[in-house]
Amino acid sequence: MSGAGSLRGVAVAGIGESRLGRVPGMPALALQKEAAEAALADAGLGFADVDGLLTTPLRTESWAMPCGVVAEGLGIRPRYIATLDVAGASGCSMVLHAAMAIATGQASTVLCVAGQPSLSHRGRGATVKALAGAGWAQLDLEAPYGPLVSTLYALVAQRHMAEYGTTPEQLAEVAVAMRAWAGMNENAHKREPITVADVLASPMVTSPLHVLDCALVSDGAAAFVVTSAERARDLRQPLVRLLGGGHGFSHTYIGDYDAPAVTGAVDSGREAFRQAGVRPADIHVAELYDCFTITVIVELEDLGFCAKGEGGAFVSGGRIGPGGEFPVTTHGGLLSAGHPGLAGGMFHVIEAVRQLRGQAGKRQVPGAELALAHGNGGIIGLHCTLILGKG
Amino acid sequence: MLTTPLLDGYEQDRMTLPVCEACGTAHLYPRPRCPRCGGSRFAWREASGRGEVTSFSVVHRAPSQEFAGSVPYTIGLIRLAEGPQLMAWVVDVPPEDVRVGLPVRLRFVTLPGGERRPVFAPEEAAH
Repeated sequence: MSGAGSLRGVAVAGIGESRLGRVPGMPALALQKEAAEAALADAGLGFADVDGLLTTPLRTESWAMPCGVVAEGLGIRPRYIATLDVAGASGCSMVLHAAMAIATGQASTVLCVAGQPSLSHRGRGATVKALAGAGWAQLDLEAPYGPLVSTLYALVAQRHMAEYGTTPEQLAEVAVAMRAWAGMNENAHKREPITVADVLASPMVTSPLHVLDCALVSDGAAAFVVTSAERARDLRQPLVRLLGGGHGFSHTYIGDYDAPAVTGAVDSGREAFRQAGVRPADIHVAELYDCFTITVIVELEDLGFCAKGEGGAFVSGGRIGPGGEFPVTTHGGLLSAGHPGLAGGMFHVIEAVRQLRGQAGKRQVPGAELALAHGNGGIIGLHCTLILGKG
Repeated sequence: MLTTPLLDGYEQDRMTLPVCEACGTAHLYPRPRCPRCGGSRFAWREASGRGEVTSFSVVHRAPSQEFAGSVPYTIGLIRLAEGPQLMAWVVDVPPEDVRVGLPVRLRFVTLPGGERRPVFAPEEAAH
């Protein structure tokens, strides 16, 4: 049960966020430094204590070796160092990789940090255009038809609607819930409440997805410190341990994927639950990756929180928002709290830790002792699920 | 490149599919190993051109200046009669009439970026 030989011997001991939203004049390294300092201070540690570093590639800088640039920028010389990229699943995957490094003695204290000024770098419109040509669509066989990244997810949504009768109103419920949570998160990018009618009245980008069905483009960075549970017990914060984790991969491109409403979360979730020895019904709060409203609906199904096809009904009537029966993505997610590139999925991990510590303020889920954090990457094909527990 | 035979065919308004010599399965997008049996030898065979829409999205916001004159356009996932699925425009049908399950037939157009590529039109409108 204890020691460094299993995931259960590993804890997330420190969490930190930079300012999130529109943060002008802050290059990526400055944002990352802000988040890293916050995470280390939160744990009661300093840069001198860090002997492992994980970061992600950036879209706003031309760094051939992000982990080296970040290590140098922060003035550390880690003995375990890597740049990790499983797209949107990177945030959760960092925890799992850090845990493996700790369990095998490659490092004792791993700083995970990423972030970029997605919004200030070139603005929302230009970022959306740049993403469209970045390879999320197959370059010869899909990109020539002019899909946005949101179009690739719209194909998932339309398929889900045709197969299961999911409605635009149910998709909108997800955006409304995220905004309501963000209203209680002082660091969130967008906090003014919205309604289902607002979502449906917002401009159609790529049917059935409106602007408000799509993630924000934000400046920001996130960091967390992963160490052994044994060490974390002596640090500043209540203990939050990793109980299970897993990855899942189903496909790369949506165009030739034969089950466009089923995600790789089926596999990542099964593995995480098996390792943790718990079931979906045991989870008190789920921090699910929400790049688009449909993403949350398919994740709820594929992680086993409801049957396949019932995700739309599951989110209806405010069930995943504040005061709802099953709280989901309680910081407001990529849809409302912010989305600074690959760091976006790290905020879901941070929020899970905050909920388990009982430090989530107005949005605290009472009695949260078991949390799930989930990252989705690519076009629903790359996944990582974590199960975290209090104490 | 793995896609060369497919793209060369597109330049001549033909769609050929890699068919595994070991198990007879056609697949897209072109891969070095057959997704069904792992075979690595393929014969390129002419597609029937028949298929159906398995999903679609009507794009209202152009991803680049190139597409600004084309919006709204309908991007579909098309399941070919031979089994594989691919992305292509659904044409010759108003966006509001596109539905999942719509039978479609292959033709070719030059896309806004100048690429010659397959598109699919409803069966009855194809000829």
